[in-house]
Amino acid sequence: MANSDSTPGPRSGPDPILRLVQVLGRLPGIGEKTATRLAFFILRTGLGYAEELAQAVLDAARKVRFCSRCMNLTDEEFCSICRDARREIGVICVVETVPDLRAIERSHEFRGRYHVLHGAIAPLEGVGPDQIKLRELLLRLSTPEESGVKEIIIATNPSVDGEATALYLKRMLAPLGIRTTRIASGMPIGGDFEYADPATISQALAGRRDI
Amino acid sequence: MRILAAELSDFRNFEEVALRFSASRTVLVGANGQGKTNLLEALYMVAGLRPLRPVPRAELIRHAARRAKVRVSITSEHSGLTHELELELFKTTRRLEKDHKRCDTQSFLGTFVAVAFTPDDLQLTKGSPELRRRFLDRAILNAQPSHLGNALRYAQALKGRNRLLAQDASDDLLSSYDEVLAKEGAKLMAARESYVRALEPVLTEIFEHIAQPAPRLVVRYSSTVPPEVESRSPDALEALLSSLLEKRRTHDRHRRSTSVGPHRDDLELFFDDRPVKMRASQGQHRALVLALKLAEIRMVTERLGEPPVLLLDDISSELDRERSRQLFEAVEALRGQVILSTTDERQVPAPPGTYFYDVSQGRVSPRPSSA
Ligand SMILES: [Zn+2]
Repeated sequence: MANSDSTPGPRSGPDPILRLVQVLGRLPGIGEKTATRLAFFILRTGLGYAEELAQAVLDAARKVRFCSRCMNLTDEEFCSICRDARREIGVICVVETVPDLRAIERSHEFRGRYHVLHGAIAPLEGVGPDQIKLRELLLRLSTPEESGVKEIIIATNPSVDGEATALYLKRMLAPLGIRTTRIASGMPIGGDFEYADPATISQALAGRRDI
Repeated sequence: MRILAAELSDFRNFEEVALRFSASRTVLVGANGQGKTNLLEALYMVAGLRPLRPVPRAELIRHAARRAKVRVSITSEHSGLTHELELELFKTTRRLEKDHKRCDTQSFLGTFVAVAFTPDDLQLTKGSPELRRRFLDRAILNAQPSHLGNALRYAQALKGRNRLLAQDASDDLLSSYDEVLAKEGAKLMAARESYVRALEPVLTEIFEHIAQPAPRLVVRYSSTVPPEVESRSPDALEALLSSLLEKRRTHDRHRRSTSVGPHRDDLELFFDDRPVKMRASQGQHRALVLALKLAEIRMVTERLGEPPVLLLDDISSELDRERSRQLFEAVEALRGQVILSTTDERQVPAPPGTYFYDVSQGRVSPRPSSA
């Protein structure tokens, strides 16, 4: 051994604990303190849990993809909502994110299908119409399978960017001759759809208006 | 309305400070740069969620700290209620609590109403239009808390549109931001126009009382959206602003900035028919600034049914002796709570019941009589 005295030599890679803390710390809403707590929980719980967690993360990341129709997340070609024959095919609700979709589903108020944009237009963050799944919606609406669509409900957030995205979408949809509506914004300004309670969501849907 | 106590942590140069306030007058004494203004600003932030002058959020957080926190307890004679307000500022977000429960901007604002009078205000009548727009927006906010959200949305839509202009974005995309801009802008203009209409008679009366002899004062909200129609309702203004934005689009694309809207408007002041900027003497400027602040205070007092808390930042040294006397006379008549800072305590009248604090290097110590 080259390093026979008590001074440890340079390590061969990054400290595994610090690396785990750092990777966990990149998750939204997780600060360094929480990341450290999570890391030590994983290490304390043992190898079995660590392997299960790693496998679950990998499985999900490898298998989950965008639904070919509505851009919801799924592990099949089409998501469970698109596959559900009981959903009304005449109405599509456009949302910014999957959590927004989930929030509307929780209200049990909406029986149509969705389209997830995965964001909103945001000039200040360099997000233009091409960076969100907007073209996918226009393409989808031009297919024969979607010829029964009579109404598009735009449920983007009531923020400035969400509002502008809704208005832009209205312009893009106008040539298709499909009725376009906007949910009522009963929510406090800047309030996100994701955090609205079911009652507020059903009110917002019921109070939608043509734009 | 009165502040009973305030606690600051990591706000500007203050690590931890706790203060109790006199029901009538509290005087913060200290040399310049010791933090007197920062104390007043902390209180002002809780009232209106804006600093005294626009600065990046990070400047309000003490060096090396993660967040700044200000907590105040407020009591209102009008409602008979006491409330605890807590504001936490992080570098990119803020967190609001009212009575120990997390709340949104709408329910936070309006609980604590304060009017500040700072040396910056002395530029109000001769400085840039931005100062007068800020004066109007801050005065309106005291009566109408939704005005802040409205102003912020307008500012965001404006930045978005300007970015799109710089990127040569499509007409469809620009039109979408124009629509949002017109809607928010119209609300902003309607609120300012109606405030200025209400302000004019109050301001004129106060100015005539203060400045003798007083020239004939005319006050006007001058808008980049000209009064083509009789009705200045938000709907009519929205339609007007919207058509102007469209007309100006080519011009704006060249200049990469938006040439119409409330961000270009001004509160114009005239003596007879000539702009105050060109016409007024130093003394008249000071008298008019004082009249503007006193008019703001009177209007918010009428609206609330009780005086707001007044925050006076080293103002005696900026006003001449006569204006200073008139200010304190008006303040006295209001019977409200005043918190003021000064470098020289002999300059400020201190009736019985006044608390004194010495402010030095981010530390605040009460004088024995205040404890
Ligand atoms: Zn789907």
